[in-house]
Amino acid sequence: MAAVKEGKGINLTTPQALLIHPPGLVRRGISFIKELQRGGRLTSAAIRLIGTLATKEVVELNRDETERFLRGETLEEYRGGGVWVIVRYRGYPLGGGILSSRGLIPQLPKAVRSITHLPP
Amino acid sequence: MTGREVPYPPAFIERYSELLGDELEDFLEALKRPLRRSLRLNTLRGEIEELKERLSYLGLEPVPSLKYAFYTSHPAPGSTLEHYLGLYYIQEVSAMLAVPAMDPKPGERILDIAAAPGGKSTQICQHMENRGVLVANEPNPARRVILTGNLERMGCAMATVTGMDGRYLRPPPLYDRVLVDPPCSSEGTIRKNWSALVDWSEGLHRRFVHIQRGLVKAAANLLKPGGVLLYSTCTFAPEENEGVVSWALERLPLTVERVSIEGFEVREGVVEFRGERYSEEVKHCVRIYPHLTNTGGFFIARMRRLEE
Repeated sequence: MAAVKEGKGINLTTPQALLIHPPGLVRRGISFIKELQRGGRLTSAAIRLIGTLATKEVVELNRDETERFLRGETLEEYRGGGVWVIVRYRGYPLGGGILSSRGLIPQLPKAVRSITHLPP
Repeated sequence: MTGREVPYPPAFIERYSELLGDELEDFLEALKRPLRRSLRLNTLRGEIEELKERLSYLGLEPVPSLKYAFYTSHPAPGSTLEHYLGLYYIQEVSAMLAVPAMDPKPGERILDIAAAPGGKSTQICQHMENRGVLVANEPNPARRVILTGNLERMGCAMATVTGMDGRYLRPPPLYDRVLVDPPCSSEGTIRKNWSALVDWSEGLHRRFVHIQRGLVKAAANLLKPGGVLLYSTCTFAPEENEGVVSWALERLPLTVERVSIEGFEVREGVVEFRGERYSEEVKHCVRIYPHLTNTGGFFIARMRRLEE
């Protein structure tokens, strides 16, 4: 794999992709880190890729919490000092969240609204 | 009147009576039957057996000879967490047959000249194990957003997205293989989308042939000597299928190779339709008919750029 700067972030691609310069180039690879100017954060695509491997700053939810989290609710059961965490359900990485004093605040893309069925 | 009660246009029946003869009735009946939902397990996200086990609740039934393809009885496969995470892609079975026929290999340079929404592009990345490069081209900005979303969802790090009208792509000849799956009259999607019949008219295919020829010409010029051009459509119209291939063989440094599809009863390309004669080589192409395979309709031609 190779990294390439893309806008305000970094994408993951292949070394071979960096060797060609096709006309009408829009983007290379998949997004991995965004908001570099603010220190950088993993993207949703990055979380899908490596979220199952994370061992620190991870919150595992139960089914009810997952349904609420995907709906965009702040989960008051989980509180912290403003740490960004990876949120999982049964080992599946759902996305990112911020553990704040108010609770776990979802940091999810709009595409999660398509999820209406969780695994049994 | 529901979609499936819309009568077939008389001109549609006349055309395909000429092509299919006494199979016409079976063909027309098959087009009315609902299509079985199918999906492709994403081997970029895990091994097939592991994914099968995780997704067993989707009611998976294997598709013959495509190890990652399954029919599903789940009522909403596009609404699951696993779909969002890219563990599978919802794709019609006949459409899945093009990429194996092209046979992309890890490490190669591939161009998908009309890539949106990304079904075949993501399938190419799977076959290539994310090694090499795929240029996924799509000129329409709205469709390109969908394409990019699918490439991200499925973890296709080897994909580079471009936004050109494919007909105007010029050498140098960079690619080992080019997929040309162009806009077409989509007759083969009637089972999934009845509006393809509602919108059908006799001259519809003429609108697309011009674009299809332009894309094939550009693709041939972008291929390395010995490279493979895979031409596929989801229509039954010979003008858009064998007609385009025949046109290409007359003008471009291409030859046709036999397409072999295991596990499905397919038909060879037709050499004549409505007084128009096509190259004998189109017999090496493949026609996929719903009444034979219980899938959508499809056409596949595999061509090779001649060595200089």
